[in-house]
Amino acid sequence: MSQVGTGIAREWRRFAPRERMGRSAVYIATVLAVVLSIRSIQIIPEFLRDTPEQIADLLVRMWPVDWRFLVSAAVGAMIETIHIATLGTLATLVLAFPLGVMAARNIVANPAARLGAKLLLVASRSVNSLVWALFFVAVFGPGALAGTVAITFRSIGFVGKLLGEALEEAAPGPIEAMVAVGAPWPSVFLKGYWPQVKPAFFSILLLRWDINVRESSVLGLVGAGGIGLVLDSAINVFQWRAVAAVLVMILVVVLLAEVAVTWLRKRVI
Amino acid sequence: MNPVTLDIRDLTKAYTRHEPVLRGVTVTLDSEGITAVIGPSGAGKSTLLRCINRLVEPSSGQVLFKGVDLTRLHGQALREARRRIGMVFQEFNLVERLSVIENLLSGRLGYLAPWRAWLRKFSESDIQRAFDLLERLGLGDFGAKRADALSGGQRQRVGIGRALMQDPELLLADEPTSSLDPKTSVEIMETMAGLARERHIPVIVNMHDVALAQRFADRMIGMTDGRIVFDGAPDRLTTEVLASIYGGEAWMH
Amino acid sequence: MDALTRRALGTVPRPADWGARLRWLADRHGGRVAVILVVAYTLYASSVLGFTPARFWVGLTHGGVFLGRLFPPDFATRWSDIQFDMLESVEIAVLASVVGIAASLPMGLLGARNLMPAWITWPVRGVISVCRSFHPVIVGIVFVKAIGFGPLAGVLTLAVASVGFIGKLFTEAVEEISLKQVEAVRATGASFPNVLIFGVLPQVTARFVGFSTYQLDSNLRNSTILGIVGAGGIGGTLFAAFQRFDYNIVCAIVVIIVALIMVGEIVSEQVRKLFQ
Repeated sequence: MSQVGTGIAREWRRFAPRERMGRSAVYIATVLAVVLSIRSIQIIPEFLRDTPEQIADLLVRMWPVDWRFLVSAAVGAMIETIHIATLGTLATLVLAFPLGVMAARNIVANPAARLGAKLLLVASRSVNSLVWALFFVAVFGPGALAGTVAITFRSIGFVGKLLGEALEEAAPGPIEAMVAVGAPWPSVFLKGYWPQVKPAFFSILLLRWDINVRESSVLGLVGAGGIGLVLDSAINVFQWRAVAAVLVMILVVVLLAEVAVTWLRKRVI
Repeated sequence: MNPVTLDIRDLTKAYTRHEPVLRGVTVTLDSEGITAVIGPSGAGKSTLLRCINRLVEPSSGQVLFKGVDLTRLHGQALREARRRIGMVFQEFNLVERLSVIENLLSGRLGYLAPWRAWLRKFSESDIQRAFDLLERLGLGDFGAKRADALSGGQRQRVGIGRALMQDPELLLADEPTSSLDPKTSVEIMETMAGLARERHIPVIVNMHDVALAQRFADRMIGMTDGRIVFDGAPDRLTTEVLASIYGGEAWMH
Repeated sequence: MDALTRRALGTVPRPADWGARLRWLADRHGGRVAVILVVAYTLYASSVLGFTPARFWVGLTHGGVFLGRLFPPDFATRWSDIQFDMLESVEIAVLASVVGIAASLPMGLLGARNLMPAWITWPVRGVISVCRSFHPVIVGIVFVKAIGFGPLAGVLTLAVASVGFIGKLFTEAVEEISLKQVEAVRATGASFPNVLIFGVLPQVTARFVGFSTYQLDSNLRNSTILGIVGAGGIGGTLFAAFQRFDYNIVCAIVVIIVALIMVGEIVSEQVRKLFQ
């Protein structure tokens, strides 16, 4: 950094050499990725130029919004969507718990078991809920059951990972104290770990529920129940005013869900 | 004749209509040297200082800085005026995630174009001055350290350095020692007073600690309830005067 | 204090404070009530949705058969298609992320109530809110219908999603900064851009990088399925294979997607550490 001594020019480098190499590498890689992507992606420039016009055209066709469509067709499906999201999140609560516990470094000593749990969690997260829905429609047939199970399988990875991390961050003090007095393991867990991770656990669940409400709204596209199917049908027959109504309804529900989550977090956690 | 450094005329500030914080403050500052402003909390000391460089907007009155009325300035003109006034804060107010040297150099931001600021392309002379100041402040090895890795006293020294990097014609210090322990407070006052005298920069400093103020100030101003009630040499600060400023004698014993 | 102690001390609880009463009841019995409510809801919702044990059982047997048909994964048959589409998904994710991240920086700053006046923050926050309220797939459908099939719709969709996600979190981060540090930079006479660069941004850069890398991962995930609605990428191939019952190919595609996402997560982690 600075060289002490009169007469010698002192230099200031903002980043250490290794840091600079790393940052440069990231910038170069990003530029490279962007340039290569633009060159090989098949986007027709005319389409790109037309975009604002096309979007404006679509918005015009959505006005005035057809609210009656909601009552006749959509509200029931929306309620179904919320049920799918909620049941799915509840099921996740049960299934993610053991996996999250198994993935925590400070609870399970066997590295193979931890690795196994971690792999299951990663796999669950990496497969999109829509893809899970495709699977389960093939297994259970079309309908809300496939959707709910899909939501569950997708959420387990999310909740399990965050739960494992919360457990790993638990203070060791109270745990050691209980182990030292010879408390049985379920007690250690219930009185030692659980009080520390309880707020985080519910916070994570609420967050996932919020996300699931949004995810459930599209599962209908592949036949897994909920508002997705109604939306898709309306779009396919170009009933844009009905589409607009459904989109607004989804928007309102998602916003209400967020408000509910914020409220619940303050009150319960 | 050169205009006085600072000429404050009938300065008032009221946040709500019935509770003025400053009531028609009038004071001039000409010479170099340290002027200490003392008084109880809520007397308006901090507000007075911040009205000078307009971090707080005065409700009425004038602040003439070398003949220029700061209350009338806007935009670029205001910023140029601010460049000439350095400020040291009670809680140091360093940018904690930046290094010490970057914090020092931020004193030159009033002179730098945004793209240069983004790329940290300060002029070579600025950088050398910053290093010199670093040595002078006794922080020679701390240049590359992040500001939040420093102790309170060290941080305040960087704060003083940042203000001095502006090459200011006036230095404002808002309770610079209130967050520091007694020993460090004295060190900081020595550093600040020493450097300011060296560079012939007048200083206005707010303080809680009357004894410390008396030790370093050439002139003392006592404020109560938004008004100046005393203005004179430190040795004229008698017990009666202090009582009229702070009210009640119990705290003095 | 509990009833016993209260009685011992001879004080009588105030009768009229319903809020305190309810809170006390909630603390005492809340856990049990919650469990009962949850179980009741589960039973209710399950019946509304038509879940029966029979359906589960049938499903499980189907599931076994289905799993059998998935393996072994077939990489060979449509390899060139898969390769091309996979690359397209990555390209969509990269471009959408770059555009989205670049747009989120100013949007996030404009939405911060401690920096900007209300007539700017309200519309900006509104736009960000709309951007994040819809699932990318829905946004994808709308874009596809508006501007046609292909990766352009995918890029726009995910750029919108990125602005929604990063924009909101970034605005929150900016609203949490210490304004004292900003005040000090202002006092030096710095221009507004300089105040942002030296006073605001250093406080939030690390978090911004965190949000951006998270969104890159998210975009990678979503770009793989946007194809289902025609917005380009591997999703279309996946869906088509599903409809043809080519489950071995489906398995291969899913394996590649999972691998890609895992690589993406590792790269993101490294970038995050570098910019701390």
